[in-house]
Amino acid sequence: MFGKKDRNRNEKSAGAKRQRKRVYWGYSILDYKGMEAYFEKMAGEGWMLEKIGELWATFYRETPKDLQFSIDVFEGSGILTPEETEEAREYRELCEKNGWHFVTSIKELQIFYAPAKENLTPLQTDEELEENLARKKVWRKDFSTSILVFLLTAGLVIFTRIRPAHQMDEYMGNIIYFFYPLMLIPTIIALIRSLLWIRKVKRQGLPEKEVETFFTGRKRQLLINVIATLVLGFLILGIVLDTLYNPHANTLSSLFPALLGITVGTTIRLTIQKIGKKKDDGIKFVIIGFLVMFMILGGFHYYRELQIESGIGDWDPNLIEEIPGDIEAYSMERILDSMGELELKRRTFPVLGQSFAVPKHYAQYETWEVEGRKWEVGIRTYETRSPWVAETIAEGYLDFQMGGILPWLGENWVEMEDLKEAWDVDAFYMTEGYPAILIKQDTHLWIIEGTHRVGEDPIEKMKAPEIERLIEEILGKHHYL
Amino acid sequence: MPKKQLKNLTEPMYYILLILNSPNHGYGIMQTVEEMTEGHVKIGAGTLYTLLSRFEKEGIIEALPEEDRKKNYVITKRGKELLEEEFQRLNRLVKDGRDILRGGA
Repeated sequence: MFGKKDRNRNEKSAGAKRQRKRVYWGYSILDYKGMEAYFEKMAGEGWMLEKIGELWATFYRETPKDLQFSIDVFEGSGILTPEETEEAREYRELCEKNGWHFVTSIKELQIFYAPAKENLTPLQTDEELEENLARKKVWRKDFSTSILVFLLTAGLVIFTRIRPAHQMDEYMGNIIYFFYPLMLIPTIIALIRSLLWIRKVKRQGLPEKEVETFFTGRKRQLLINVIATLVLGFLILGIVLDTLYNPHANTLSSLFPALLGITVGTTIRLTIQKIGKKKDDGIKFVIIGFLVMFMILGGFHYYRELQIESGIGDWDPNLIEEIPGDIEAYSMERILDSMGELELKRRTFPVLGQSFAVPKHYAQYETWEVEGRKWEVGIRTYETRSPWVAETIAEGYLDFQMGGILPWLGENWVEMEDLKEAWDVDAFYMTEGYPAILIKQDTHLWIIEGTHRVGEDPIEKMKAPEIERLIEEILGKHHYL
Repeated sequence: MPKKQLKNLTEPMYYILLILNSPNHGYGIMQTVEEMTEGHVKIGAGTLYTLLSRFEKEGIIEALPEEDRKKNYVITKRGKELLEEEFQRLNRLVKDGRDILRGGA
């Protein structure tokens, strides 16, 4: 004789041996009527619905049966309401007593079945009430999500187009600029679908139970998901490339707050729906979730501060780096040769961002000392894929330097027509106060910043012979001044 | 947006409120409605649950302490007023109908 424990084990192992099938469950909640027909079709083919997850629906092998399915929108459901409340239990019990067997629930939807030949009272007997419920619980949720996602996507696309320069010299930025607009396609499809659904319901009532609706809906949803997954894949590629080639960009830590928000949000939602038991549990879990998130963010902020502090401590005023062999950095040593008694105090070649649009981006900073005064020059070089990229970065740099929307805080840069012509370049800009030069020629962009020992007027300073020599080195041309 | 107030009761609404003049639970209401109307009025479990939550929210009925895990409901004073109004409206309809269709008989 089997004890109770043994019997349970036997039942369990029988359950585990059951043949199961997982079906990709990318569907829109708006197609829930079509789902009923699909479950009936599957039951007829010997596959009975077991459960529905975020991505998959699981079916198990059964003898083919003629069943009727009914998916009901539950009045007591909501984003902050657990799926297994006392109310839900009571409601399912009521349905069971009427001959409808409960299978599973997914968010707002409760799924029941009964043998097809039984003439049962439908779960919903009042059309108007059913329509109101579907509008309130299904459509309103779908529409508000669609419009929110659309606005966020469009907002990011517009924002990156206002300041494209920021997106050019990192892989992640390139991907956001060039590929993220693709996300507008699925968001627009979802939004249009939501609007068409409600228009149809207003005119003809709730959709009919047709398996075709389900398949069309799933194809549409598949297209939406494929594009979204593709863009997500590109973004992950961006993170990987930036981590490998642009470690200073710290893409991961700049994405950290967003990733934390998504993780905490999803965890809160799943915890509420799957673990919560009472209606008020939702608010409790949201508060706990937010506290955890703020604690992690606080810790993260503190860690970054520590990192920055330790970084400052590492700054070496006498660091002289060797010229790296793999970049064609312009050596200012050659200029120094003609400048007499100068002592090189510091020289660095910082690693700067590179990307698809800007394959090479490097700099050289040097500090010399003469008669007790420091003389500093930095040259930043962008080797880009196209003149448009070089121009975009130049515009972005000038806009940022000139203070953007707060011009009184910025520097005034002047386009030097005579120097532009003299050097035969596309753009030649100089500052009025702080001595800096921006030169753009074809796909290349150079930004020279420095302090000088001769002359009082900053533009005069920039025309100092050593700077002209520098430009000559950079452009490989002789000056004509 | 303020919720639309109940104006006229539908048949199921009328019967639910009528039955809740004495305490009853979900399944009890369904069975009583079916018996009372000889199967003419049927209320689906989903519809009943939605109506009970809506009535409770609007203070037309109230839930009593649970007995044997069964939630019992009973009509409130407000609900009774609403039911009375509906009863009178229906009476007027029948009276007007009788005057014309049956010549006042």
